[in-house]
Amino acid sequence: MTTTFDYPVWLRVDHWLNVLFVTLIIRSGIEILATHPKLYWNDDSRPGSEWARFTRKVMPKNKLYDTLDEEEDYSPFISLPGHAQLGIGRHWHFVAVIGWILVGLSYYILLFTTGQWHRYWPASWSIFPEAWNDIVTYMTFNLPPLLPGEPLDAMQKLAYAGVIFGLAPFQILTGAAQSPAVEARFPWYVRMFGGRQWARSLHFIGLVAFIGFIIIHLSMVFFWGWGHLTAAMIFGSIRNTHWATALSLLIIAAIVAVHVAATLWSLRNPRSVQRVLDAVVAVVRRPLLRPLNSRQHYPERKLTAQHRVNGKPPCSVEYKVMAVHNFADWRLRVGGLVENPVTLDLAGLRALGEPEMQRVMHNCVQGWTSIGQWGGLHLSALVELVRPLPEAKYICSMTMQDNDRDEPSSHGGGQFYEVMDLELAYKPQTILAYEMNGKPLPIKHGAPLRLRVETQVGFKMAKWINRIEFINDYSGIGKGAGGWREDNVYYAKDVEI
Amino acid sequence: MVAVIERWKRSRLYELLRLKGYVAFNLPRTVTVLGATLLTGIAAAHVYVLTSRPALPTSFFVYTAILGACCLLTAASLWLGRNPRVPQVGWFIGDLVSVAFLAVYLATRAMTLPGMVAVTGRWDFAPGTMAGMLALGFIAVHMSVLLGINVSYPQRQPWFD
Repeated sequence: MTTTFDYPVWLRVDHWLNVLFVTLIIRSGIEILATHPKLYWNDDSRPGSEWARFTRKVMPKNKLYDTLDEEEDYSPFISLPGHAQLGIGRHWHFVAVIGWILVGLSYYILLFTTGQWHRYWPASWSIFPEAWNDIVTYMTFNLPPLLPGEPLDAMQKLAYAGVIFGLAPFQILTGAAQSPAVEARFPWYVRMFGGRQWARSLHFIGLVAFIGFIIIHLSMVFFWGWGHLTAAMIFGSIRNTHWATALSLLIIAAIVAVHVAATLWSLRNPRSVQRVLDAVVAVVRRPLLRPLNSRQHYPERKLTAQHRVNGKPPCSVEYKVMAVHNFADWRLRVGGLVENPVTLDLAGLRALGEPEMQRVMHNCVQGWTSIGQWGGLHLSALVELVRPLPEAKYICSMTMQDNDRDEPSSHGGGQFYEVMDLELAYKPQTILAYEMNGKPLPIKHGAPLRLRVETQVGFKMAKWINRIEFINDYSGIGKGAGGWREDNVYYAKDVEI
Repeated sequence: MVAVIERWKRSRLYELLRLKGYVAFNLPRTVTVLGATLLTGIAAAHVYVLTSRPALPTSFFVYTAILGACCLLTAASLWLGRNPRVPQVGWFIGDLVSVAFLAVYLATRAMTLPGMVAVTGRWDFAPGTMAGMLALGFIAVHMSVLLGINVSYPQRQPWFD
């Protein structure tokens, strides 16, 4: 006998694509969590104030540590790709999110144009007492009756409505709230969730809810009849249940195979994953997020007492001598593809223009945030002074930090540098900062000079800068990916998210 | 006793149960609200049976009164933070109450007690399943506290970093 459930082809295809993308999102999301495995209810990310931690590491009390030391190395069995590969995890997360949103959009459009939404939308308040009756029935170890003419009981209908119309959009919205560009342009939007760390915590709770839903969904399919229900979701009707069981296992195996392939590709050839996936993400990221300008101005009372930091200061003798003399001997050399190369000391840099002051949120790529007040010269003033040649496309900030010497726990060695598009120099709140919280820039935050580009993730804002080059190609610098972290941890060069 | 606890803490099962120390929450009030709610739920499920089933014998009234009082008093004790030992003992008493209820409930699934045909001798008894889930839930929550995954009021996780 054939029972028609009226699952159209598009709905069945979307269902299985959804399984693929959601599982990719979950695993890559866990990789992102691993890099700062602590969750807060405050935007200061104050050490010790977290409400959840997923790490065994205990940081030392008696020596300087930074947030890179807090990173965890999770197994590839739970995270994609595993082994503390945040950059690759981010690429997979964003690509899978794009895929998931496209599937979701097609699902929503078809759901509403074909009338299929009635299947999931609870049209009457009476569904709540009916759902309670269903729960009571489940607690008698029996299966409740289905709603008249529908393939679901009331409880299932409510659960699907919650996931399709509530949880899925909620995850997208809380995810978007974690983009520095969105946070910088629309601080009110992030405040709507209670703050940036609230958004991150809620995003995590949403993940747990998704995992809970998946476990209960699979249990329901098992108890109601795996063969019957997978037949409905493969053939659109209940027929050939043995074939349906076999095919469902085959589809699940194919999804597992995609995960295995993604993991192996990522661990064996991360550079190609970086290139390929970032090219896909850039298609969406650039038009959506690049136009956003920072409009932050947090009140003074919001300043973080102990601003967190990522990366350790240079410990060369040369730097220490400079620091002892309040950086009187420090010089900034600005050159490359410019008409007027200059070398400036701190006083010369300060004399270039009125200092700009901004109280902004620092969004670290690891997920933590802090709020600081930065003062310095707008980068465009320096650009106007040196007059870049028409072929100049990028600004390369070189620093005094050598990771072989200064950050042994990092993913590689060599001089730290970062490349950014020249157009970012003209963005509001893009400054070369020499002050923090009204005082000279502290050593751990980049003294004597650091970059602030508020629509980008924190690692782009190079600290301890002593040289700036205007260039038209970065493929010959370092490993050619556009920055030290891009070279060694496979981050994207443009990081509005 | 100390030696036994130390040996237990070095065992693989202990490490496995505490998820190798990778998961920890610092939500003492939430955990305590959860524990108190679970105990109150056990009492409420029994009161519901008492009010919804006709002609239950006096013994069930007495049983419900004792169990309900134990649950509610224990739930209240979890909030007595002035002396931290009180809530700590309260959690263990909650375990005892939960285990006692589970033992009685499971035993009365095997046999039908006189005068209680509607509530004994069968598994398809929703309030019983509900109360059983709540009791198991309480034990699980307390277990998570003992394993260091959670922490209960008035304690806090000793996180300085």
